[in-house]
Amino acid sequence: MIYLKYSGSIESKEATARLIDEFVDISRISGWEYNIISENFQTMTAGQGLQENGKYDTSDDNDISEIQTLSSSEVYLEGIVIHIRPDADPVRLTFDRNGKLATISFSTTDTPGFNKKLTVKKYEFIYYPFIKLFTRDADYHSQAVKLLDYVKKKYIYDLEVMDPSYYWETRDVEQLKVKLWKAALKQSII
Amino acid sequence: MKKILFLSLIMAFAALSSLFADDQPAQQGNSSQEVVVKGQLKVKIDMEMPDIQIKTDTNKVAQSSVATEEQFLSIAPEDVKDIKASLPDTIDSERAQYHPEYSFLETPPVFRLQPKMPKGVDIDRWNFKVTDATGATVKLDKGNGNLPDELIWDGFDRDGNILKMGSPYWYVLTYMDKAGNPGSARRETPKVVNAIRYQRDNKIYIEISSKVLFEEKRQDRLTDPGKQMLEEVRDYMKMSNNFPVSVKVYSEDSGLSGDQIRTLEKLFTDKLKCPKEFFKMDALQDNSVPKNYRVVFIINA
Repeated sequence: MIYLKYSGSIESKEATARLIDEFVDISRISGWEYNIISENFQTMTAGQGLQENGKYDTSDDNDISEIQTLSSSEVYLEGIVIHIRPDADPVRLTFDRNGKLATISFSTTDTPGFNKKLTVKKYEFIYYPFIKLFTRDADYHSQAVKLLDYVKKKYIYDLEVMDPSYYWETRDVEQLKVKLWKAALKQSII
Repeated sequence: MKKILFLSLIMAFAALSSLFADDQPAQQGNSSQEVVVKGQLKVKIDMEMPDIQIKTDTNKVAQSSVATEEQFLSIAPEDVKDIKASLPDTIDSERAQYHPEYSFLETPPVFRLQPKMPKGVDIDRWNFKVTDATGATVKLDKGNGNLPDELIWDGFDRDGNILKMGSPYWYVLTYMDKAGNPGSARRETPKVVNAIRYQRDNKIYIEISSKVLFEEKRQDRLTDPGKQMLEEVRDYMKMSNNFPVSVKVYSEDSGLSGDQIRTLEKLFTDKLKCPKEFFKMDALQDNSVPKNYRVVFIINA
């Protein structure tokens, strides 16, 4: 597998609404599934919005340094999740309250209270100021990069993409295929 | 003997001439005399004097004639007073343009796009949609392959209703090319239609937003642009010449609609010289979201 890690900011709420609207249309004409995300602590779900139990891989040291914890009042996520393929990671375009590309995961612990009649549910929120997407084949990787290209051109002008296969920079499909093949041999994530 | 005969002739002549000389005055005297005709009266003519004597005063006749003309002109349309002014500048199948400078009424299509793609871009799939102020899609077209030469929205939603007056509308064209690159074209500033004219069922419909027709604070008073708009509406009524015109006034409550109807009636009868019978007015309430307070004129084409 190869990952694509991307971060950046959208300029306004209106732009976020337009991006969602446009990617709904793109998904529809392309036959892709999608989920519109509008999450806060009151409406939170463990669906496509907030990631339950922190499923994110944080193999990069940089990732760990960027991750923060959030209080419940700070939980906010808005955007769209596009499932280009049902068996692959979706392309997430979700933003925090400040318009920054982000995802939030949470875990819960139930603590029995006094005389075990009362259970206290404790939430812990982890905030990632980036989005990470794992790809297994060149076509999917290439399609995801095309979507990010478009997002950078129209909505997130400061979009930064980290692509260990260098496909983002070179657009060299052969090199991407080689990288994916090597990763598959090693059964590792590049 | 001859002498005697001659003398006797002269005497006879003299006697005759004196006799005739006496007859002439006698005849004149006879003509002035009454002639009595004896017999039975066969035809009798009875004549009666009229009860009322008619006295005519030429001055008075002249005055009343002038008064009548003035009165006639006062109730006649403006254009009868001045024949030159009475002629519309142009006439088309729908409108006699008495006010060619007025063109407040838009006509469908509301959106007309002629998309031009860069060379070398082959479109695989596309989607053209029009959304209203609530974000709801009121029109959706989609297709495969290259874009059509024109993308048009006629102003009607999926249910066949015309767009809402004074409400914003946007369009978005989204596409995916054959290489998998998405793209889009969007109208950034919303399109707002305040007055529109369209045809349906052989009738001309004119819809005008109450926002532009009536004052904001006194919603039963017409604005100046509103009055001009109604003059343009009258052009269509004149061209149609098919009455009554149905007028439907929609506002937040039927009471206000009634007040607005009275304002419109007054304008049409007093200023625009259209009799009250020429209109069939209905006061209606509109509860739709977004608001759509408007006046609808339905003119038989």
